[in-house]
Amino acid sequence: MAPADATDLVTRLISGDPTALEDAYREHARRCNAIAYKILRNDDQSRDVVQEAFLTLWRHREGLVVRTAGIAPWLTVVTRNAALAALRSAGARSRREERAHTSDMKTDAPDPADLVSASVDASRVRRAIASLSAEQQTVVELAYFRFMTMSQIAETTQTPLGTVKRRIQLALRHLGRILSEQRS
Amino acid sequence: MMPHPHDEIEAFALGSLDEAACRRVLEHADQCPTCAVVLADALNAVHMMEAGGERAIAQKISLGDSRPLRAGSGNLWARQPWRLLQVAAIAAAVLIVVGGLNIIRGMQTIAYTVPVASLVHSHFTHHALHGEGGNVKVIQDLNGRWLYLVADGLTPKARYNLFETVNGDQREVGQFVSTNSGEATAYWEQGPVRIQRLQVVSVGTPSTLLRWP
Repeated sequence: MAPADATDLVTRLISGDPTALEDAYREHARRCNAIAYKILRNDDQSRDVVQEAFLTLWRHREGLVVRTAGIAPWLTVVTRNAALAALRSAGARSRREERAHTSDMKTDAPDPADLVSASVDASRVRRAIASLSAEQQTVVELAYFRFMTMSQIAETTQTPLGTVKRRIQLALRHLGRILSEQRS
Repeated sequence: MMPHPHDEIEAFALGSLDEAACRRVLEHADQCPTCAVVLADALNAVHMMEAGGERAIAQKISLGDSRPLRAGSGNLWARQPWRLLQVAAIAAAVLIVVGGLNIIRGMQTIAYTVPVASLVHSHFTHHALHGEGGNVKVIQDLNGRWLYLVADGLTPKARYNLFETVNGDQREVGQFVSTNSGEATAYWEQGPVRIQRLQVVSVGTPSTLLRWP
């Protein structure tokens, strides 16, 4: 989508034009579905997550972030977060059922190694991650590729939560700069 | 407004917050220009990370490219149309309260004053300045009438100049001073112009530190 079209879409969204939401859906739903599916590996769940993301977009359409970041990055992260919430909810449910039935139960949770391999063509991203410090690489791997929360990362790495937050903050800012420079 | 969730913005973008914390970050950033800019950067970073990996997985799934929002039995809104009305009503009821603004007109700096009114009522683009000595982003009204600068990683308590190039002529937009922690925000209003270049220079040091493009 050209920048002028993207700006027009945001303007129409802010004005409450429902056809703008449909246009946004036509433009971005496929990519959002790919993001959700990559995490959930389930078509129905992915569609529901994408619908939730677009509902959230409508709810926050007047927000400054939508206008600053643009719809595409905003939808990417909101879709990803919604999918992760669904995954974690499913994971918690599975663990409860596992405890109740004391039987082995196969979950739909994706294999992290599989997800990493799905991203192997993103060598640009991998190079950017490789330029981080070892500690920052670890938190990005655990957060981005293994879908861990900050608390889980703190527990896994035996690191104070505040340190994890700071590492995530510095790592993502560094990645943003590196990827922007590569793009430009 | 809740306290700035500075240490959770990047974690939100990476998906490491729970649902309640995600909602708090989004709702805060909706009305806080400084956090909105930081969050926009974080969203862009994750968006660029996703852009590579999603191509591979997108080829593996079958999905209608242009599925209409209200079509299909699996569509949430088709099953629960009241939800669209509900969120529309909620959105319509939201009022952004703007107060305490004291914007001085002309080419004058108002350091650390957030131009909420300008951001709420305008459409804008933003320019990331690259170079040494810090991170600077300049947000510009699409009509070129105002500039909002957000920076971090600068030398603490240092004075800087922002220059713009318009129609081939470079001119000073104004000065700003970094905080003890090397952060800065500044705001300037001016006549509508199309900016070709931006530069940040440390006062007293003639070399350019950061520039866009």
